[in-house]
Amino acid sequence: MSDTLDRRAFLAKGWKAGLGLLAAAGLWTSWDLLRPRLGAGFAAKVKTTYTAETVPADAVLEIPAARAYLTKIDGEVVAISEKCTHLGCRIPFCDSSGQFECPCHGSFFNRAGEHVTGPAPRGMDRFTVGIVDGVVEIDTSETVNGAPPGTDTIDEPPLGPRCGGDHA
Amino acid sequence: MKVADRVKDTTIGRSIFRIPDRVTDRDRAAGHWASFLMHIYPVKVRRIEITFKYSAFLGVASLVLFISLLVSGIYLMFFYVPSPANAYGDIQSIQTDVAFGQYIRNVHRWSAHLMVLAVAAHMARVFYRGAYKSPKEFNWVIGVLLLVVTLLLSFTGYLLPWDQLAFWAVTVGTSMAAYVPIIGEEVQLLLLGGPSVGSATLLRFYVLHVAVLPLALVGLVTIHLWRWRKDSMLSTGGGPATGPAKVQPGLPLQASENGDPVVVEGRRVLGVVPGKPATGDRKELSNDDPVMVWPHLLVRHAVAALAVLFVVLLIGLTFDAPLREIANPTSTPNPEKAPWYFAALQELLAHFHPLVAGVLVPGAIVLGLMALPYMDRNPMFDARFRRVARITFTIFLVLWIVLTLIGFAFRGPSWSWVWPWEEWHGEL
Repeated sequence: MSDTLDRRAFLAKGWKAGLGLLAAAGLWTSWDLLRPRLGAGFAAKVKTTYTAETVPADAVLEIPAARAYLTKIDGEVVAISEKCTHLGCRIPFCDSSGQFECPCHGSFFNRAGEHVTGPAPRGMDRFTVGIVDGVVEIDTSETVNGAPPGTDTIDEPPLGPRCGGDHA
Repeated sequence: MKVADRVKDTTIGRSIFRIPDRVTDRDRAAGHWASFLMHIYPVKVRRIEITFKYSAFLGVASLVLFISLLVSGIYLMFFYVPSPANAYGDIQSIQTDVAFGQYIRNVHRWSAHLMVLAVAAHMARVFYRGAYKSPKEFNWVIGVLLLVVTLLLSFTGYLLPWDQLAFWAVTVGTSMAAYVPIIGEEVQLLLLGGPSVGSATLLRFYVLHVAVLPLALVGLVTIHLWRWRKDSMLSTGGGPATGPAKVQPGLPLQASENGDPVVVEGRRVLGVVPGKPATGDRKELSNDDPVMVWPHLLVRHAVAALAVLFVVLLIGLTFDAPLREIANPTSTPNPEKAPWYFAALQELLAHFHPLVAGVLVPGAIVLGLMALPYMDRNPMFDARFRRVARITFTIFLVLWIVLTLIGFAFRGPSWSWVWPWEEWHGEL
């Protein structure tokens, strides 16, 4: 073979390059066509029936429409997303321990949604809240990432036995 | 003359049926080449390959279970609409209104579980036999891909009943994808078709489950079997592997005087090698001596296939496939268990960062298995002479089984430790 690019070699390379381009274009097009077009949030703003005064400071209120919990931390109303930051399970609040306990992989969070133990990479995410016409309104269009593990601003140890048993 | 023979003897009959009457070995060999389905099989295999202890017929079992899944799955498709409004109700009416619906659903579910088991066991058997070694390295790689596709098929099928079991298992499974570096979140969106598991997810999983993945599986199985057929007479006996220089794929081997395999030179006509068959007049038969596939291997495969079918049909009669409450995005069951073949992963996920447990570990397992035949330089086939490989593989296998058992039977609410008799074990 000569090292100059003759007609045969050029065509052979051309075919391969063409096939490569076609495959890349096909892959990119499929990817792009199957990508979902996302709107903002599932329901941008969720109005609750609670006033700032009726949100408890020692328990949580579930707001199913916002997939969130309301509670008061340092006198301020916060909305905590129910979705586990680990792998997306919905985290129930355990009344006996006063903590959130994830049923899927055993992550625990305190009442403020801060990471206590388990595999979750950070605390529970939050939504911003506002007071509109005297009632609490949760803005679900944007989440605020939870605090990194180790954060503990409320210092509330478990009140009693965990719902998942104490041998975790 | 029997009716069948008279039909075959007409002009039309002769144009359809080209298979000769199997009187001599030559006819039997020709029969393999004349028939589309039969030519999956080689004409001859080594004598040891027809024994139960060689393969436990696990490859046949996997294929039979896949066919059972195809047949039962197609039946179920007639009564199922993949949308959140219909799916759960359709499963309920399959179980109550459709003729044999509950039974067919049971068979589909248990075939799927058994297929995962059969494929995994097949892989372990092939490992201990050293059958992934040259020149079969790439067929092992295809086998690993087949295991992955089998698991993906099981997992995509898991969502379709749209019950609580399905919804949350898929929420967790797709969330794991998000931890893949760089492309993870895009992949998760692509799988879900939206921000969370919803109607788009159900449709996507349905299309993957009934079209994309079965086609991929059939394609891979075709190549897998074709390569098996091409390599069917290569020795994998107790001695060192015969290097590719000595053995040409497709040329059959015969034992020489001192028992070493030698290549029989010669042109092949319809797969028949000229000369006397090695099984002819020798008294002591060696493992590498060829035997005719028709009927020796075929009859064993037929019996194995019937046995597997018998077991799966019996389990289907005895145990009903579970169906929990309809999927409810506002309530995660506690505990929420992954399907059993992912229970080991779920247990790992409870201890390690999801990037490690959900991405790096499974990735390393799949890539490690694929790389195995290229890393293993030991020329021996027999597991007795492969100490390092045998011990390493066995440790990983036992570890995985233990993790699976813990995740399946020893984990309760909030993933706390429970004992199996405390009624928290996972559902199949």
